[in-house]
Amino acid sequence: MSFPFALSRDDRSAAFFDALADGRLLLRRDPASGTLHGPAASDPAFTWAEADGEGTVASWAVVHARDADPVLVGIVELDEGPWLRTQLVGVDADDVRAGLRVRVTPVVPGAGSEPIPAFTPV
Amino acid sequence: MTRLDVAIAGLGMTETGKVYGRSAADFAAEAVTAAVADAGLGLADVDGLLVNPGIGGGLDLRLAKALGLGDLALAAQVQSFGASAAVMVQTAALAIAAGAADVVACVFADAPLREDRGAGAAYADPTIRRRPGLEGIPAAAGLVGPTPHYALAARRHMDHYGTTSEQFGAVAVSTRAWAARNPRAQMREAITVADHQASRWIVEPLHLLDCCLVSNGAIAVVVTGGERARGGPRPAVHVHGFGQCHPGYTERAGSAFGLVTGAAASGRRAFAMAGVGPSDIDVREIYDCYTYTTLVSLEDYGFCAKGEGGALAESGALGPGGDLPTNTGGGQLSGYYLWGMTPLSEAVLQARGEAGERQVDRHDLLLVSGNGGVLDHHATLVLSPHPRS
Repeated sequence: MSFPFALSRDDRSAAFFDALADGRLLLRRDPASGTLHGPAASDPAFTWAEADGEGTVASWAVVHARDADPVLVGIVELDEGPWLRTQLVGVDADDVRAGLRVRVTPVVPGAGSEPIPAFTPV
Repeated sequence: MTRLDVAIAGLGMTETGKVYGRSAADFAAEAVTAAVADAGLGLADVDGLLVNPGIGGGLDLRLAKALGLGDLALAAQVQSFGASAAVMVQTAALAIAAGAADVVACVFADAPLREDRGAGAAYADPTIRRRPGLEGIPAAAGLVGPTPHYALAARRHMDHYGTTSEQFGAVAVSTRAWAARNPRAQMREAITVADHQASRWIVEPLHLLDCCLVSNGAIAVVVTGGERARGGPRPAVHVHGFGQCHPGYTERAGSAFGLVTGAAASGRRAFAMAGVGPSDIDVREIYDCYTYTTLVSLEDYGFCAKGEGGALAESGALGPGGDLPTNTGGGQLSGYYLWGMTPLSEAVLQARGEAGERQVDRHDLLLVSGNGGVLDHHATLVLSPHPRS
């Protein structure tokens, strides 16, 4: 596997990456409605809330580059509702389908990088 | 509201494609000058300027000074990405209808291609897509540039409606067949669905032949009141309707991303304003950054039932001699990629009867679409060589 570049943290993402390193997925909770949003939702009134970390594949694609191995990516629809666009690991592209049940797993894309919330079949 | 009487009076196009050694601003100045001359006007007649820079940047309102335009009544940089051309025409039409300007030049220019790197690198350079923190997750996961996101959209359509890669291939084939008749097109050699299937993956399910070109160049149009345009040297191309939709897809369960695009609502708005429906349209010029985009836009405009875009493409209706001529200049897939100016320029040529070997006999009503971001911005124009009755 080859990855395009390392991901760095900032103040807003520190808690997310710390939890993900432990295998826990954090989402942003709207305190007014209780609705859970994706981690990048930027409303400052939102607070962190832990997701159960499971969802289903809503779409998938295979990124081909001339100088790297193909990378399987997808849209994961978390059981709480939000979508995450990220990597799918531990599964062959030929075996992926919409509705496949998956669970979050931290994947460090390269030396010095924060983890990404990748997903793998349950 | 009074009856809209606004028209495209002039079209200016530079050399397009692999044209190196010129800046976007330089291309833009040439295109505007040519469009104004094409309208039978001089630069001194221009009192409005709308500029839309592409991904390479390098075009802004300093163009006015470069062209020596003084006392402009309207000047703005527009950035609705691929929807910008139609958005600029709509903005110009509204300004003219309100009496705020008389002669508005609208220009797109870009020069992302360089001799020392491939076309794909112009749009997928990770160094310009890199973001820290939470916003950086998709790119760090491998989703760099627009193509992976369009691939995810296309896969949803395939999954939901049974659309196949071969049906995307049929769009590539019909578009290339039109390009063969356009001397300006970058790719004119005939292709088959088998060629499409054999072309390398870019982001599966999208093959190389599902993806648009990258081009350098500029295209400008001059928008004026209908009466002035009808008195010009070229046939006036009247604006009968326009509409936009910026869908604001939510990134969560229930999102229509990939399934229904802004073509649906922007098309409804443009058709309502023009007082026509999809069955009245003779020529379709659809923003085709990918074959998928053509197919889903045709569905959303109502040229076939929802989900039947693949079958429509396979039927041959979109190509030369077909019932629904679509992307008659070769589009962005095979012609030239100058964002929304690709479909708009071809519509102007078809409406004026100047499309040569690829001229469609019936060209009384034409539809132009623009699509920007990843299906985030959509704009539609309904054009005609005839004034609104």
